[in-house]
Amino acid sequence: MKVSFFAKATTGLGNVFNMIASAALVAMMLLTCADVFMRYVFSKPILGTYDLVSLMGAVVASFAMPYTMLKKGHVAVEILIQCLSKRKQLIIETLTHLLGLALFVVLIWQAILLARDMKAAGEVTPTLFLPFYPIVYCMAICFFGLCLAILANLLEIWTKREK
Amino acid sequence: MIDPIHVGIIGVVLLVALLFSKFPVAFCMALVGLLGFGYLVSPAAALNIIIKDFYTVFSSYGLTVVPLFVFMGQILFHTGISRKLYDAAFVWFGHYKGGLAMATVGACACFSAISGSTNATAATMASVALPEMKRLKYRDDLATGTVAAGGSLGILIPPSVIFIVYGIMTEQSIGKLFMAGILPGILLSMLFILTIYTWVSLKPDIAPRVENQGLKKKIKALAGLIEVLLLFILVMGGLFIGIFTPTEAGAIGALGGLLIPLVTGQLSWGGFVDALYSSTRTTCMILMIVAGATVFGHFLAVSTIPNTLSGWVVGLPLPHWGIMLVIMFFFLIGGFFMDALGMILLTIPIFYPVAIAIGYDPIWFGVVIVLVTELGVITPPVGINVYVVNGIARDVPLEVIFKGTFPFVLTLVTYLVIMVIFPQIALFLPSFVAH
Repeated sequence: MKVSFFAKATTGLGNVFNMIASAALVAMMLLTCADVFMRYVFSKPILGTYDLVSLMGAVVASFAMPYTMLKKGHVAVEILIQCLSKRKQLIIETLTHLLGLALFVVLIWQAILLARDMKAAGEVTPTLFLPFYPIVYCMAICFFGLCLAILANLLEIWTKREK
Repeated sequence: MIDPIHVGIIGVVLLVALLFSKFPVAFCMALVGLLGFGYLVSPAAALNIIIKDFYTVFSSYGLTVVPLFVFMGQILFHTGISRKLYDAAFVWFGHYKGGLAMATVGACACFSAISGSTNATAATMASVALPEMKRLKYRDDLATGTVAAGGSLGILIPPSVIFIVYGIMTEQSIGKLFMAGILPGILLSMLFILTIYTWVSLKPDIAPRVENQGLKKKIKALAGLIEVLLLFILVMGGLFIGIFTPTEAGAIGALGGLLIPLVTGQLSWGGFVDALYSSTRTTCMILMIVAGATVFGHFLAVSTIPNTLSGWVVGLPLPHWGIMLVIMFFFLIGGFFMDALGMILLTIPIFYPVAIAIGYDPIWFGVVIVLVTELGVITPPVGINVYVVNGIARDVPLEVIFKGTFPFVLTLVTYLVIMVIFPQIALFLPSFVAH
C-alpha cells in the first residue's frame, strides 16, 4: 500500500517536472525562431536570446531527469547481465541502484554549495545579467527528484520479484 | 602514491565492469570519474568539478542544438513520416529484385536524417518494414538483416546527434561534420542496396517480385514528402551557408515541423505531447551522457593516459594506417556492446588526441569512427542492433538475423577500407562550408 503510494507520488512528480521541461523546450524553440525572424526581417535581434536559451536548455535537461529515469530512458548495457540467474541480477541491480542514489545525493549536496557560491559571487549571464544561482538550485531539486525516481525503480524491481 | 596511469587503468577497468552491470552509461562515467579524480587530485576538487561539469553541460548554448533537432525528428516521426517514407520508397523501388529490402534501406537512410540513434532507427524501421516484408514472403534473414543494417545508417546522415556531440567535445564545426556525413551516408546506402541486389540475384527465391506501381502512384507518393524535403533543405542549407547557427537551424526545423502538420492536419494533440515528452527524455539521456563523459574525461586527463597513449602510439613502429586500424579495432569491439553515442563519447578523450597526433583530419576521423561503430552494432555474435531487431521480431532467432547482417558486414568492411584510402569522400563537401 505504502509502496504504491510512493510510486504514484514519484510518477506524479516526474510528470509535473517533465511538463516544465517540455514548456522550456517549446519556449526555447519559439524564442530562437523569433530571434532569427527579427534579425533578418527587421535587423533587430532579440537581446539576451543566447542567455535565455542556454538557461532554458538547463531547465529541459534538469527537469526531465526524474521522468527519464522512471521511463528507463537511459542507455545501459544489458546484454551480459541477462545471462545471469534471476537472483544474481537482483543483487547486481540493487547495488547499481544504490550506487546511483549515492552519486546523486552527492550531486544534490554539491549543487546547493555551488548555488550558494554563485549567489555570493554574484555570477550573472553575459547580456541580461540574470543570476545563475536559481537554475543551480533547480538542478538540486531535480537531482532530488531523480533520487526518488531511482528509489521507485528499485522498489519496482523488488515488488515484481515477490509476485 | 600509485602512478596516475595505473589509477587511470584501474578506472577504465572499473568503468567497463560497471557498464556491464546494466548501470546507465552516464552514471558509470560520472561515478568512476568522480572517484578517480578524487583519488588523484583531491576529494574536494572532485566534488567541485562533478557539479561544475553537470552545470556547464546542461547550460551550454552549444548543446541546446540537441533538444531542438531531437524535437524536430520526433514531431516528424509522430506525423507518420516513417510510414510515408517507407511507402514512397516501396512504390519507387518495390518492383526491382529485392525491392522491398531496398526500399527499407532507402527509408532508413531518410529516416536517419531525423534520428540520431542506431537503436532507435532500427527499432522504428523494424516495426514499419518487417510486417510488410513478411507479408510479401521475403525470407527472414534478408528482412531482419536489412533492418538491422539499415538502422545503423541513423548516425551517419545529418542531422546526427553523434556528430553534434562529437563536434562539441572536439571543438569542430557541427555544420562541417553534418556536411561530411552526407556523401558517405548516401554512398553507403547505395552500397547496401547493391548488396541486396547481389544477394537476391544469387538467390532469387528469398525475395519474390512485386509488380511495378506505375508513374502516377510514384509521383503521388513523392508529393506527400515534398514539405518535409523542403524543410530539410531549408534547415540544412541555412546551416551550411551560415545563415543559422546549429541551434537556430534546429529551432526552425522544429517549428517548421510543427507548422506543416498544422496545415495538413496530421498531428494530433496527443502526438504533439508524445513528441515533446520523447524529446525531453532523449535530451536528458544525451546530456547526462555528455556530462558523465566530461567528468570521466577530466579524470582521464589527470591520469595522463590520453597523453601517454598518444605519445606511445605515435612512437609505434607502425605506419599511420596501422595505428588507425588499431583504433578502429577498439571502436569495433565497443560497438558490439554499446549504442554508438555512449561508445563514441567514452572513447573520444582517449583516441581523439591520438588520431590528431598522427595527423588525421578531425572531421574525417569523426566520420570513420561513426562507420566503425556502425559496423560494431551489426557484427556477429554480439552486435546490439541485432538484439534490438530481435526484440521486435520475436519469432526470428538471433542466428538468422546475424546470418542476415553478414553480407552487410562485408560491405561495411570494404567501405571502411575505401574511406581510409580516399578520405576525400568525407572531406569533399565540408571544404565548401562557410564557417
